[in-house]
Amino acid sequence: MKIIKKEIFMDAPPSKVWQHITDSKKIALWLMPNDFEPTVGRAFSMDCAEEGIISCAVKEMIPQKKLVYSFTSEVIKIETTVTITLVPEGTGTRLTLTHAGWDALPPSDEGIACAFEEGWGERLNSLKEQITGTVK
Amino acid sequence: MVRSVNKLARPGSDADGLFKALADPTRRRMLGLLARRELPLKEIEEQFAISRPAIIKHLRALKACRLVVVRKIGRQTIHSLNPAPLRTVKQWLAQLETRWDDHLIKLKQQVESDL
Repeated sequence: MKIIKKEIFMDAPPSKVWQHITDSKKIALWLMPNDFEPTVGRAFSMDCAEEGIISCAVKEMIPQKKLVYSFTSEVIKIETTVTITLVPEGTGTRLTLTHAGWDALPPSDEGIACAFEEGWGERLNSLKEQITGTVK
Repeated sequence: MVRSVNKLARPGSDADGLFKALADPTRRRMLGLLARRELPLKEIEEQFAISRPAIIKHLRALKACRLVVVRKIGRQTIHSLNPAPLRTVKQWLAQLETRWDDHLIKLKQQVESDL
């Protein structure tokens, strides 16, 4: 299953970007109302009006470099993981966000396609045996 | 999230049952099996170490959201996978992806204007 991956360059140093991704009030401005606390292991939630409450927990924090939290929406009750990394670039910062863990969700379309292919392979083999009378 | 009106993800929508159905590992395994080939109930049962009523309950959840469809052949009930509802999941993911874009653009503006 796919991973959501986004990259964006910001003309500000990692220290500044870090404040905006780890301060509850600042997070609320660009993401959602939340009760985030910058402590590993701390559970927090984000209030996404349309999709209800998103339950999260801080998994990893390397100041000004990396922030990882779990992300479980009320609708899709599957724990996924959001990872934000900051890399200094010139006078600015390259931020990369990945949202992964969708493997747990559906067999992906590709997966189904493969499985179908496999299934068809098996069936065509039996059909072939049936027609040609080959009995293994 | 901030901007969207997301019909798919609204609690109580059709997607609700679909995501609930997919949120269970036993049911995902069942889908995996059925993706390979369609199966009668008996053969599904043989693949799981859980009771028949439990199997039936899981299959009911999958049938309710049309991920699994059944047909009768004689006395057998054949179960097959119907991948169409998974398009809803794909759509949901696509929307989520777009929304991350919006959020990050907002973050960029916020960070860059914070002097």
